[in-house]
Amino acid sequence: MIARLFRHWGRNTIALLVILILLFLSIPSLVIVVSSFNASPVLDFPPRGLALRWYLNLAERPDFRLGFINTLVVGGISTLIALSAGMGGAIAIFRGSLPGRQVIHAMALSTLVLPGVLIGVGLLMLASKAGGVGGFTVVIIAHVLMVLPFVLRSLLVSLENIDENLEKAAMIFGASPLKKFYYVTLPMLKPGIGAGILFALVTSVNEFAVSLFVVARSTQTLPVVLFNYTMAYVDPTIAAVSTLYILATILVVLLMQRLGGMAQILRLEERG
Amino acid sequence: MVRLQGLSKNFGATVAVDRVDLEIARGELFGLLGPSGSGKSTLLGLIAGFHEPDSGVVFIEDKDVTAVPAHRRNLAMMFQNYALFPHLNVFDNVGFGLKMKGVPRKIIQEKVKEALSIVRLEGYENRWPHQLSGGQQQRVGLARALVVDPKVLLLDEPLSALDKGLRDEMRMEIKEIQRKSGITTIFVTHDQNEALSLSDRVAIMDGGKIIQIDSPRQIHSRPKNSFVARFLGLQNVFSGKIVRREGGLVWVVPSGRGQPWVAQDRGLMEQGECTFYVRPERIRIVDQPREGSQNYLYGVVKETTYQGVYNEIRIELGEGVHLMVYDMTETQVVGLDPGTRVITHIDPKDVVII
Repeated sequence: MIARLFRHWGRNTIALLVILILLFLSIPSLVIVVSSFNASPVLDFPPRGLALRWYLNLAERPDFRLGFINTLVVGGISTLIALSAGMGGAIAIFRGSLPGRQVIHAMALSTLVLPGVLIGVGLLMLASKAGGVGGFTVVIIAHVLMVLPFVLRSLLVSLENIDENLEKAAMIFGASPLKKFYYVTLPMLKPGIGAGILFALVTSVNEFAVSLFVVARSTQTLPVVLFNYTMAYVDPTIAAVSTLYILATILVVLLMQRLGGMAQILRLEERG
Repeated sequence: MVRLQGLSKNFGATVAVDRVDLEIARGELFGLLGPSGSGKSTLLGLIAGFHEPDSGVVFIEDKDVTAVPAHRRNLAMMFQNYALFPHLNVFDNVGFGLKMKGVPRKIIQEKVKEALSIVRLEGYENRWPHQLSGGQQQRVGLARALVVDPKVLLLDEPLSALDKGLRDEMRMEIKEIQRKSGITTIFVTHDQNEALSLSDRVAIMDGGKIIQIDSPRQIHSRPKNSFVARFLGLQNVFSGKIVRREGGLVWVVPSGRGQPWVAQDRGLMEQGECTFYVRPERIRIVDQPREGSQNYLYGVVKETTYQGVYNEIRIELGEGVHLMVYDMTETQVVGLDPGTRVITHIDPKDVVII
């Protein structure tokens, strides 16, 4: 059907259409990027003058610097934890014989659909009982929970796509279950791990609802910092932060493309 | 060398292997033949150690290995889809088994080189599986299997994915290598040509059970029942009824109706129901019946298909009995268009009762 469309309208027309659609979709982002360079402290568009002052504002304000560091630390650590837990979970779900494993599977995926507020309040209550409200532990736990579904899904899809005969070959040629995991399964899971890391980082860095409930002043993540700032001031600083986010996302995608090809990584999710 | 006693395996409600007893001698090239779902692959899996049997014992070299996991049985396997590790190059693929055993690197290098030269892939150490053709990948698979000096070599439909020319080539190579090395080899296939041309002995399986074990020649000339006959691609298999017995000859009526056929009495059947067949190439189409000879059957040509060396002619003998005849194009007797009335002749010794 698409081929017919191409033939009927001609290659160039389709290309033009696609470009127009992409442009349309990027308009909000473009507006934000342009606004971030607005010289005046009013969020108007088009800007009347251009300046970098809002970016400097970001660099100078301690709360933004703190938020930035916290987000990186929390993102990195929760991704690592989610990868380890996700790896074990994926193997147990895929190849294990524990009777309740599909229930555990569903539970691990549940934070995808539960309202962030619910999870946040729940964790807050847990933290107040256990001690450690607002501390890094509860924030990291929150992020692991939010990020786990993505990691688990990626790993499971990757695991399912490993040819069964490769496992048999490993076994028959003398690989114990541990060696088989290290020499055969793990290397073949690289796309899944890559996708998992990608989605985990992106999710964690953008996570807002749950974080809002569990962070304290010192453990604020960047989205929370941004939110609080916006409550007090409405100036192009938020546009600056957003522009940096957009830039970071583009860089990560380029990096992933370089390392493994987005098509290959994304195909994982499609097949699942 | 390999002995199976009362081996059974179920998957849920399905019986995959049903109380199989089997003994395979050292150095034998043994074939497991059967249609899909006959249990042959599961049986191979039980010998390999991929599955644990529900009951029964697996002996390898007189040692009970039923509880021994696959990675400790010292076997090797070749797969239908080659199963080369895509993230390893040819050298690492072939040397995988040795590496798992902890063999020193120097020795691995020598042995891999040796194995690659046996399969005629010298110098391919640094290539990657995706760079190789199907035939080359399968030869790497063979090298990988040989290099570990396994007790038993298992082949799971190793030639099915190759095209005809390659298949024949690989078949000869496998046979030759097996002969030279003397490794006990068990392979699984659904292709009866493959099984019969490769094996020293063949076991035909159906529904999880072994139906017949014999040398290829024996199976071909003396199929045990109609399932085996039909699976071997034998045409003209009929069930019939013995109606008369006299002077070393037996009269049998196909499907209970029509002219009786005359067969040689081999002393196998009593009275009553039996199965018999006649090979298409053993049927002659003649002008007229000759005095003193038996088995002239009258029929009408339904269809003629050109098959190169011979014509495949389907003849209806009446009463719904159809005969398949292979008539050599060189010695064609009459014009054989559909609708032609013909007389077919079968020598009684070519009517085989099983």
